[in-house]
Amino acid sequence: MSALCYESPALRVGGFAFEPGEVRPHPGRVTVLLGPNGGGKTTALRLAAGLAVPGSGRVALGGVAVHAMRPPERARAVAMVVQRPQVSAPFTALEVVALGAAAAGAGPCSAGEALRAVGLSGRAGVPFAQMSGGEQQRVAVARAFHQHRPGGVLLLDEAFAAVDPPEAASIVAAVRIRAAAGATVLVATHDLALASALADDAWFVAGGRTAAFGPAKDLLAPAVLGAFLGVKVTAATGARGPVAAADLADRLQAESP
Amino acid sequence: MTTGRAARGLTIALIALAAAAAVRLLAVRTLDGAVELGFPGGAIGDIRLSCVLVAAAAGGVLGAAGWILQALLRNPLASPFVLGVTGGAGTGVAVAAVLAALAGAAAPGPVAMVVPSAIGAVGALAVVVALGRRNGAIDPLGLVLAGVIVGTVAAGLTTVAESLLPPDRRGLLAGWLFGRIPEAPDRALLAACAAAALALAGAGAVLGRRLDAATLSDDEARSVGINLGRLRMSLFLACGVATAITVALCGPVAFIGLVAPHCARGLVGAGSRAGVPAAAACGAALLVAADALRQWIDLGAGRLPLGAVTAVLGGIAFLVLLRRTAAGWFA
Repeated sequence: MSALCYESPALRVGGFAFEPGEVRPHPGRVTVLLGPNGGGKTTALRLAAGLAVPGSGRVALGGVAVHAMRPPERARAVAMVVQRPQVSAPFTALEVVALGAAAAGAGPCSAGEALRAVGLSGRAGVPFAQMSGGEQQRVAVARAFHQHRPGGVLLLDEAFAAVDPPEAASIVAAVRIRAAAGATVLVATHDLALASALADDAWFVAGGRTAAFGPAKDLLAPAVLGAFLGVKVTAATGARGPVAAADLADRLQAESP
Repeated sequence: MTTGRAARGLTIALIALAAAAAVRLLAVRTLDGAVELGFPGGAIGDIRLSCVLVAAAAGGVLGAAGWILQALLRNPLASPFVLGVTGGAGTGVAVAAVLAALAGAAAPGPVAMVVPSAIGAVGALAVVVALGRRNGAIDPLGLVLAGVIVGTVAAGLTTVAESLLPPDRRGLLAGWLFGRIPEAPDRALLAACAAAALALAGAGAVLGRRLDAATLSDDEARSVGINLGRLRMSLFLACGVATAITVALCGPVAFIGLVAPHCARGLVGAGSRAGVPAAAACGAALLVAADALRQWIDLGAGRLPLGAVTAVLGGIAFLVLLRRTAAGWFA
């Protein structure tokens, strides 16, 4: 497995500058990106997928700049789920999953197995366009699983935003299995409970910069997380340890007229 | 997607093509209204045969190009005609005819038309794709609107060019600009058109999986390993040049490139590997059928021009598709 490294990439889009400095997400661990909207989470993932070319610096995978890799070679090393998956042709769910192998061939997880991993094997023949937003996100996750090779990089951008908790839980389990097999996993999310369930490490991104990067048990502690997000964070105790949640009550009180 | 369905669908499309060709070759309504069955030898037989070959080759190109454009532009309403590509090719030819007349040269022959036709076709496609983008992404409705505008402007320019022509050269262009099957086609041009149809169908079969992945959003398509820029550029160019050859051969024929891909999708499913060859077969069958149908309709003023048949029937199909498939495509 080759390590992913943000070697001080700098990217300017309009008035927004993304300069996260040097960050090394660990292979075999799930890193959860947290931070305000427009802070640079998606940009961080697009850089790792080679979809954006930094003006200076680079994101390297095994010592090679990701954006300079040949597209099929890059697809074998990095799989990504975007925020709003789109398919502009009348493909079924299973056909959309199979597109993960369109240029780079499939990983060891077949399209059918990938669909089962996201709990949609019963919906394989349903047209993608007729599925709910949450189902479409799960199909996109299955496509990334089908494309993914053990030890590769897996990038999930808000892939659970419209997914119900039971299905989210099974996807979390499937993601963790891949991390345990050596994958470098980056997950951008706003869902603190999901972050608690998924994260080994946390990466706080705000204003295009890295506010903090470190073990989740330190950064997802209510006091630390609350100070970063600017809301009160409470924690319940779950099977895997504390589960964080934003407690918006006192914020609501302060802002009500 | 399954091989069985693809083989079955392709077979049905080819049978439809053979049936349309058989009707065109063997059953004709003569100009005095009598029905004539059987295949005549000699010059008449040659004319019928060449009409079938021209219609099949041109329809094949338009069908395959229609599927490829619909996939690359993520738009079920895309086709060489709707996007103004055939119109641009027509303008290229008309402008070349005017330039030839001004220079005192002979009217350009069918082969000489290919170059201005290709310039017009590729130019129109480039303008439409540029205008149809919003925030770097292709906007499906904006694209069709841009195509309609460019097509209308191209038609206007063609009319201007036509009026600049000396009267003795106008008639030929006027008949051609509405789409017509030449009874004595240029052999080299017909061969080029047939080769273009086969090449597009073959490219679709080889690049089918990539074409399928290109229907994802830009970021997703690139993340599964598609070199989108290269795929789009090479196939746009191929579709533009192939369309230009058909326009040089039989004028801008409307709507075959729009309807054929949808027929093919019904037969073989959404996958491009079988879909592009099937769209070529469907396009060939539709255009041969339209030409056969045209032989049977006489409203008292002689046979209808081919372009009128495809425009009326294809236009109705366009409206049906607009209502029915747009809902299933834009998730």
